[in-house]
This record gives sequence, structure tokens and C-alpha cells, in this order.
Amino acid sequence: MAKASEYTCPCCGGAVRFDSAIQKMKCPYCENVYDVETLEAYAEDLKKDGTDDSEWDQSEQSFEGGEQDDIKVYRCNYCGGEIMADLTTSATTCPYCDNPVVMLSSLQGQWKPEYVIPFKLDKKRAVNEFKKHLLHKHLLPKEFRNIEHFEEIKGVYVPFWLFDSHIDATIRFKATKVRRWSSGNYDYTETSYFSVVRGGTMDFEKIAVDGSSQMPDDLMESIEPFDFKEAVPFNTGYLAGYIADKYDVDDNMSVVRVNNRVTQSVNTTFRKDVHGYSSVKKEGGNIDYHNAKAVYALYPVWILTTKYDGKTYIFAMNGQTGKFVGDLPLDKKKYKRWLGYGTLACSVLFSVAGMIYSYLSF
Amino acid sequence: MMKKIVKRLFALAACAVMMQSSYPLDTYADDGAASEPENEVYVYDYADMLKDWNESDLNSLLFTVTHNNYCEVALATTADNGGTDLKSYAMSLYKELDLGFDSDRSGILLCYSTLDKDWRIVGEGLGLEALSDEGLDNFPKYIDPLFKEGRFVQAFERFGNIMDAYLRQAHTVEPYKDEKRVVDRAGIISDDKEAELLKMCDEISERQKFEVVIVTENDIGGRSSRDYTDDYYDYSGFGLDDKRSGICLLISMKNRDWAISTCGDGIPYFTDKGQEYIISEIKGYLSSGEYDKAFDLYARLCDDYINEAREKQPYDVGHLPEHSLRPYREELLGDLVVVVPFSAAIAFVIWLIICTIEKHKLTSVQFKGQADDYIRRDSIVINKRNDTFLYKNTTKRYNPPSSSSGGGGGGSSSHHSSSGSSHGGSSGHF
Repeated sequence: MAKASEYTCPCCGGAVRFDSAIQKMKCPYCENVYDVETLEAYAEDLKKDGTDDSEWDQSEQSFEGGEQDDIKVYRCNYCGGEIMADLTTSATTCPYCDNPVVMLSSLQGQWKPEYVIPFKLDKKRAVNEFKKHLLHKHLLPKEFRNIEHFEEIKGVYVPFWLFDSHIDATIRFKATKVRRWSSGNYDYTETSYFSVVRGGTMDFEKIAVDGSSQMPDDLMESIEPFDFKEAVPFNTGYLAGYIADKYDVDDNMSVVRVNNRVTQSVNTTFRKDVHGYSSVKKEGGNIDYHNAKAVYALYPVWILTTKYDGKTYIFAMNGQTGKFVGDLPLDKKKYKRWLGYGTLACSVLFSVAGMIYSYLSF
Repeated sequence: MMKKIVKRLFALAACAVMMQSSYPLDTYADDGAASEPENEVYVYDYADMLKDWNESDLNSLLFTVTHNNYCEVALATTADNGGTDLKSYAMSLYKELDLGFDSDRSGILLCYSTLDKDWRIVGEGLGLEALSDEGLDNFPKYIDPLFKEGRFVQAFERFGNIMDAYLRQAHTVEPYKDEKRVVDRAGIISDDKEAELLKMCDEISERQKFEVVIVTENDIGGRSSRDYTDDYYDYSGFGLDDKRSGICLLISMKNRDWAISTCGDGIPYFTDKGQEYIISEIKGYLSSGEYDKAFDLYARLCDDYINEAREKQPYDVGHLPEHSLRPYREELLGDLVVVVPFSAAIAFVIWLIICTIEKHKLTSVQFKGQADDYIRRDSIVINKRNDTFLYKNTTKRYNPPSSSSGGGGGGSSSHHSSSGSSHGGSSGHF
């Protein structure tokens, strides 16, 4: 029996959602605005009254083997409709009455995030950013540019692992200095080799690693960075009206990715301290992680998906900063046309200019 | 006339063989300084009047005069006439010393007797012709005072210089004016064009007082094209001024050789780089058998070079003709062949870059690779810095010195022909 939480309006009893524009909870029916904390307290009171049954029942419907493991069925508390959701889903919207629902069981115990960065930008902005994203892309197929309909536009709280670490590192480089001179009929090149060692410390804060296997890692890294200063302690109220996933890649599995990124940054930082050589190449060294710890947080991401030419294209917008990414299809015919006609036109132009110059030179 | 030419050419060939056998080519330095073969003797100081260095200086002078004029000029001193008068003694000495070039034994001998305190001058062949010039009537006036004052060295020097002047005059005016400026022995120039070219070369030569000469041969024997051209110019008597200034282009069909020989003012006017440009302009015509066009362009280029050298400065490195003298249509066609593929290649590269940039703009998803955004500000402390020298390698690469002679820094290189005169020039194949 999964528990769900939805915030009801103290005024009209409607389902209240988090409004990213005003960063507060807002009732879409009576347009009253509430603090997240207020509604949280109000919901607790309601629970004590025992008047509001906020439980989700698991469906008795039987499923095929594989599906049963990954999918749960809930019944909406408002309209009674059955909702099917992934095990990783912790917040969604009822497809029948469009009321926001939050699965509490996915947000408790080890699943409870410590922080959340609330959505600052709304769906409209995401669509606008998508349109902007298509600007100045001359080799984009024309049909793609005219797309109005998206398969899906969803505001998703993506689970992220945030790693803090104090680094104590020593990096060894092999460097060369080259001196050249001529004497008689010979050119001399003298290459001196040095062992260059740099050691020191540095701190990394809140390195974000995508904890959801459903979200492509490169897509999530492309919309970085998020500004952690705007993160708040987790409160389920922020999830209302959005989709939220819980992590299915734990912090231990994410460490590999973090280590790679940290190693790269440490190498680059220490390399910048090596001056006066013709070439510098890393040869070895060690990086010790101290006080390394990971916290679980939800970051806001707008996901837009569309289909073109039988292929699904996924776009993501940082729900906090508005950074928009997503690979676009190439119009191959147009590419060839550009290369062909462009070369032809330029050749003619250059040739004419060259011949005019040649003629005038007489 | 033909007989005379044939005779002259025979003489020329005999002389060249003789010169080459007596002076190996490597004794001529290419740096322009006249070097005198040690076995050449022009001063016979039997009376022992001259000091060694004076004798050496005079020998050098007479060597130059001899080779500039193709007439052996020598002097002898004697304390004993052998019982005859000085003139007979001088004539017998001339034969005894086997003086004179060629079959007509061209040469001049001045003989001074310390016994008679007098001098006599005898000559044969070209030397006799020069001596018979009425201008030489004044010769005694120039040297008698010096002999009387006992300034023998100066007197002998003056003799050398005066003989040089008269012999030069004898060449250029008198005997050698029978070679035309355009001679097509290989028969590669059309008849009409040959007449036109001759007219053109004559006009340029007379107007500029500078010989512009063209000669074609089927075969030049085993001789180098450079030597042949030098000798052709020298022994055909070209040159309208004292320096015998001019330029001669040889085309030899057997080995498809070309050679340019310059003389007098031609040496500075036609620098090595300048000649290279001329050849680069006409080589295409030569290779494709368009000899009429090649020679026409050569003549016009020569005219332009002479004007440029006289009015501004000779064409050289960094100062070459701005405009080709080739016909417009051909020049444009030639340019078109280069310009179109070149433009196409540039255009393709430009558009490939543009298309690649545009294609790249469609991609915005990629892994970060680093975590620079998450480094805490001011947290970087680098407190260990060790730079240790390990070892060093030294490699050396041979860098050959520049092989072009006079090409890099500009200017003209010169050498001496078999007749001893100074020439510039270049040669090659087409």
C-alpha cells in the first residue's frame, strides 16, 4: 500500500501546486497562495484529524512477470482513477483529473532527499527556450523547425548525488625544454628533460552526478551547473505539480564518474602551475580523497521529447538557470546542397575576381 | 662573304681548342676576377731592365689586352741586336718566339734595345692591320718622352693600353660586322618571322646601342652551351660600344639546350634573377615548339630590361617586371588554368569549414569531463613544487649552404670566356 501526499487548499479543498514563478504553493481553483511550510503543517493537522485518507492502494490487477517488478498501480484519491507508475516515480500527475500526486513511500527513509532546488522556470519558458535553441541552426530540417507538438513536456525533479571532498594530491609531470642553435652547417636541437612535481590541496563542493538511470548522463551533465546556494531542505511540497524520480543509481556507483571528473580537474589545475617548459606531460601521481561524502538532492529539469523521422529527440532545460541543450537532426540534403552550391558560387566569384585582377595587372 | 665567315669560324674553333688545351677551364675563376695562367709569357726582358714585380704587372696587362682582342701583344727588351738593325731583330724575334694567334699569326711585338736606346714595333695579321691605322702615327709621341726620361715601365704600360684601344677599334669597326643579329641555323623560325625578328633586334640594338642577338643551332658539338654562346658573341664581333655591351640567346636543338650570354653593360643589366625571369617567361613557348613567340617575347623583354636598368635599376630579386609581356589572351588563359582550380579548392575548403561549423552547432549534448564548476573558491593551495633536471639529448642536422650563385642576394654572376673577355649568363634545358 503506497502512501501519497497531496496538498489540499484550506480555502476550497482543491489540489494545490507549487508555482515556480512566485516560489510558493498556489491553488489553481481559488488562486490562494500559501507557504510550503504552512501547507505542510496544515496537512499534518488534517492527518491528525483522520479526515483525509491519503493512502494509495496497490492495485489487485495482475501483471505479466517483468512488468510487475517495475510498475505499481495507484488509485487517485480525488477521482478514483487508476494510475500506473514506475517504481522510481515519486511524484506525478493523475492522467484523469490532472491533480498532482506525490508518492510518499518513494520519499521516505533512504529515499528521502536532503535538498531540493525548486523550479524557477516554467513550461512556457521551456518551450520558448526550445524555439530559441532552433535559431541560427541553418542545417536543421525545415519540418523540424515547424514542430509545434511535443510528445512530452515534463518538469522533472531529477535525483542527483552531490559529492563533497577535500583533495590532497601530488601530480608528477615530465617536462622538456628545447634549445635550438646553428653552428657551421649544422642546426642543433638540445632537449632537456625534467621531472616536475606539484603537490597541494583543493576542495570540491556539491559535484552533481545524475542518480537516475533513465536520464542520459551526458544530457544531465550538459545542463550543469546548478547553483546549490538556492537549494532548500527537502519538502514534498515543492514536488506538487511536477514529476519526481527517486534514485536508482546509488552513490557508490556514481563515485566512478565523480573520480574521473575530479582527476581531470586536479590535473588541469596543477598543470597550470607548471611554467617555462616547451612541453609538459603527466606521468603519474596520486589523489587522496578526504572527508568525502555524498548527499541526495533533487534538481529541477524540464524534459521535452519529440519525434522526427522515426527517431526520438530529447531536450533538457535546467529548471533553475534556463540552460537548454539537446542534439538536433541534420538535414543531409541541405548539407550537400550547401557544400556543392556554396563551393560552386564561391569558385565562380573567386575566379572572376582573380581574372579581373589578372586583367587589370596588365 | 660566306668564305670569310667559314674561315672565321674555323679560326674560332681552332682558337677555342687551343685556348681550352692551354688553359684548363678551372683556372678561370667564376668570381669575375681575371686570373692569368702562369705559363703565358708576354714580357721577354732579355736586357733585364725590369724588376720582377713590374714584369709581372706588365705581363698581366698584356695578357688582358691579348685576350680581349684576340691578338697577341708582347714586348721584349734586348741588349744585343745580333748585329742587325732593330726592326730586323724584332721581326726575327717575333718568329723565334712563335708569337701570334691563328693562321695569320695575329700579334704585335714591341722591342726595346738598350744598345740603340730605341724601339721598334712589328705586327702580323690583325696586329698589322691595327698598326697600319693612321691614328697610330701619333704613337711615338706618346711613348718617346717616357723612354727618354728612362720611365720604361710607364712606357711599356702605355704601349699596352694604346694597343688595346686600337685593336678594339680594329675589331668593332672593321673586320667582324658580317654576322646578323638573328641567325637560325636550326631552321626553327619561320622565314617571315626571322625577317621580322632581325628587324626588331636591329632596331632595338641600334636604338639602345646594345646588342640583342639570337642564334639557333642544331648541334654545338661537345661544348657547353654557355661557352659556345660566349664565343659566338665574342668572335662574331658583336658590341656597339667600348664594352661590347649586349645579350645573346642560344637555342641548341640536339640536347634542347638554351643559354644566355651577356657582355659589357649586359652583365649588370641582366642579373641572374632577371635572366631566370626571362627564361621562365619563354620556356613554355620553347617547350611547346612556339619558337617565333619565344624569340619575339625575348626581344621585347630585352628592350624592357635595358630601359628599366637605364631609367631605374636592373630587374633583380624583389624588383621583377610587374606585368608579363606575353599577349593578353594567352596570359589570361594561362592565369585561368591556375585561377579556376585554385579558386575551387579554396572555395571548397571554406565551405567545408562553414558546413562543419553549422553541423557542430546542432550538437549540444556532451559529457563534461571535468568538475571545475565545483572547485571551492580560494581552496586551491599548491605547496609542493619540485623541478628536477633529469638528462638532455642533443641532435644535429646538416643544413647545406645555399647553392644558388648570386640568386639569393641578387646581382649578376660572371665568368671569362675562352677569349678572356668577361661574360654573364645562364644556361639550361627546355
